[in-house]
Amino acid sequence: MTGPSAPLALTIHLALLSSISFGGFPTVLPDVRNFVVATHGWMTDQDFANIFAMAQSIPGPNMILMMSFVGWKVWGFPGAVASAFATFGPLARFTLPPTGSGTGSATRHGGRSCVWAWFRL
Amino acid sequence: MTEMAQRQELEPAVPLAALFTAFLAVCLYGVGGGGGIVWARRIAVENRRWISDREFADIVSLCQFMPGPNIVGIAVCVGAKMRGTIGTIAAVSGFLVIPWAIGFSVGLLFLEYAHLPILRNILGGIAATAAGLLIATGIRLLMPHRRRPAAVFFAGLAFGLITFAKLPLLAVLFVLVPLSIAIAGIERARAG
Repeated sequence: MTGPSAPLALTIHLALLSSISFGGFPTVLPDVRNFVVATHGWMTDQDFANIFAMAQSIPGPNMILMMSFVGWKVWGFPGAVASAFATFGPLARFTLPPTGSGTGSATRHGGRSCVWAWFRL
Repeated sequence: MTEMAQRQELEPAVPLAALFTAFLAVCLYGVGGGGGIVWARRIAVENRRWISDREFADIVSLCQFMPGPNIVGIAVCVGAKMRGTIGTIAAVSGFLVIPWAIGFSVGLLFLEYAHLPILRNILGGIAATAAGLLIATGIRLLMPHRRRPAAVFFAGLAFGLITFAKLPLLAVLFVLVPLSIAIAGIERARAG
């Protein structure tokens, strides 16, 4: 739509919302709607409802898919990919074991490593 | 510890492709979202025997507590436990990449024709139903706390501030969360 500043703002906002979406991503949907419809006018209420219905009726990761449609509206395919990453990225970062450097040795990741990763925050 | 090390020496590392396909299957079976956890348990615990029932229960309770899409958290935890960071990437991409690509293309195609009356009616109906499901989920989450006046008060306050005062969610959350935790702490101190 506009320059890269719009998708950047959307991505940062989605990542922020994702990190506080306790109880699942739908809890922050009203705020997503306010951000993209009311504040920035990137789409109409009708568009937002359509995207919501579409994502809910397709099997798979609904909310990631829905945010991809939102990103698509704002900045095409790059916007869609950025929004998808912003939706699940913060979670993956929180949950990753702190010692996981990618060597793949199973012994280092015994027990409840991901639980500890969370508590260390 | 030594017993565990022995066990892991005996068992070869889980191939990354297996993590990828297992979570692809979880995603494809779990149509509609909610069934995903059931399928993740069946595949990771019963079929592949990657983790024990207890570990799975720990992972699920952790993921419910954390922000973000719950089932992705399960993929992150199982992948990390089997193969570390690279395993996480394999499990999460198995869960996301192919279903996302298909869903995204189909969805875009339909959204192109969203102005057609028949499609508009279908989408309107689905949106209303899905919104109703979300409201029902919210009420179900609140029900166990209905006898605690402080909990009902904070739920009502959050609802009012967001719906009627139209304050941003972030602001409401950052004010109400510390307050409600403090009140819950005081209540507990008085009761005990």
